[in-house]
Amino acid sequence: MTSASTIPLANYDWHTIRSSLDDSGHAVLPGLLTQAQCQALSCAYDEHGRYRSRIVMARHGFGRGEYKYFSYPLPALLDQLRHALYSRLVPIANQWNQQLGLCAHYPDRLDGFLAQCHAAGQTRPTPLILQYGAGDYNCLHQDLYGEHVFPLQTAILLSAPERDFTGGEFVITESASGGQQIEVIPLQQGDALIFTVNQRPAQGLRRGTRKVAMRHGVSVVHRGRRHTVGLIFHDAR
Amino acid sequence: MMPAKPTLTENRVPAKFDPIARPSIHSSPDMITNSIDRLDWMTIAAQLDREGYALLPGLLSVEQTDSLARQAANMELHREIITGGSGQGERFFLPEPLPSPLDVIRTHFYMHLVRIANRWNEVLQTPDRYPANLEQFLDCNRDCGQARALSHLNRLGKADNLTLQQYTDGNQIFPLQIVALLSKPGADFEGGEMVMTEQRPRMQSRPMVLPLRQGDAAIIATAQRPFQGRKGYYRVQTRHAISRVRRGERIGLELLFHNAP
Repeated sequence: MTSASTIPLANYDWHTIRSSLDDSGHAVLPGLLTQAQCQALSCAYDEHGRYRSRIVMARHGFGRGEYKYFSYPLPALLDQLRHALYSRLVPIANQWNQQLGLCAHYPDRLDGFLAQCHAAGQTRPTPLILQYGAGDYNCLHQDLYGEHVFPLQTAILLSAPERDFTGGEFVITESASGGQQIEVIPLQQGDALIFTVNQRPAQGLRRGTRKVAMRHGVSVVHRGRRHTVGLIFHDAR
Repeated sequence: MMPAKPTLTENRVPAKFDPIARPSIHSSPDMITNSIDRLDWMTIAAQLDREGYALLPGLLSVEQTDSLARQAANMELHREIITGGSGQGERFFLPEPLPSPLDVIRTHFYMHLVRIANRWNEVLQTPDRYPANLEQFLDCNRDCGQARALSHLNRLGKADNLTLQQYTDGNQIFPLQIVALLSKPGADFEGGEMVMTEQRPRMQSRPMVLPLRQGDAAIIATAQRPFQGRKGYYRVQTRHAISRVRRGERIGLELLFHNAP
């Protein structure tokens, strides 16, 4: 498929991305995947042999719609993206842990972190592809799969808003200082959103650092079909 | 010569206001009540039962949204700065009686919504029933010490937002309210989405983004509504928020049927 050198991570302004993550806990990478890459991933949703399990959200009270976890080895494109994004994000994750007074220090490379996950029994791959049809939605949640948690994750929109679907907005909530703030993130086909898994440090109201809890979800899809890929860096128990 | 505008509330509107009513077809009280009566109330009731909200596209004309939006600029006396846990922005509480055409809109919507409100109380086995018209309900409010009017305009600039909220101070809470968008998305502002969450017992919250254009309104559940599950009805909690405005200025309207203490 795609070689690592064709993943255009170096084309993005990582100073701006870091500021955005520090200020709001999320950042958009416009056009990370091409339309062809998006379509190839979407079309493979129904293929057998690529996925380790299929989850129907309504059965678990998670929402409506379904998703599938990829098996190892991941599709080459997603494996390369997961490694490359991890290397870009690990300095931010380590800084956040320091600010939050957490002692966990993440290894420089994804393989080192996954070795820690696997040693702790978190051996199952977490990258996934989600499929929503009309009336489907995803409740506000956090993707935690065990003791080892990398504090940032990525979602890539594979479908084109307005053309392939309407509704289905990506929603993030942030709880701090007694209020729950909402962000609705506008995404185009191929855009990647990096966002906080569960908690992040934020500027205190007077000084110092406060802890902000975050959740994410998807509002109801009104029409059409919406696919996304989720890249979570920790593995699951 | 006086222009042929409605006189229902004109004399009671504080002098500070521009009269909102224009001599146009949109603002004649009869036209408003007729168009509210002609709404598809079966569908609205079904949507409220299913989703906790029902959209009312084009409830307000562009002249009405512009005129209402201009009111905010003249309402320094009623201004409340929103900070801390409630978000960031400005709120302008509308004095009672509401300026036209909002008074007619609110009074007449109440007459239709009270049936849904009473049915909700019935299925939730709440003994209270709401009186048939708004005037009687507001009298009950005042008898219970709820005299502070809650209907307001809100104005959000860049980076402003309103956090998830419910207007539930006091014992007399009407379970439905109206929200409307007075500014034009894309032109006047970006971001600033109307978002609701619905929390069912022992479940995660469901987020809903209400697609509002300028002049569109929605009837939304104020705080609690019945949800029909497999084992009968149970109570879900609803809240609403406005997501962060990324550019420009967003002016919104909230019409509440109950007062606060």
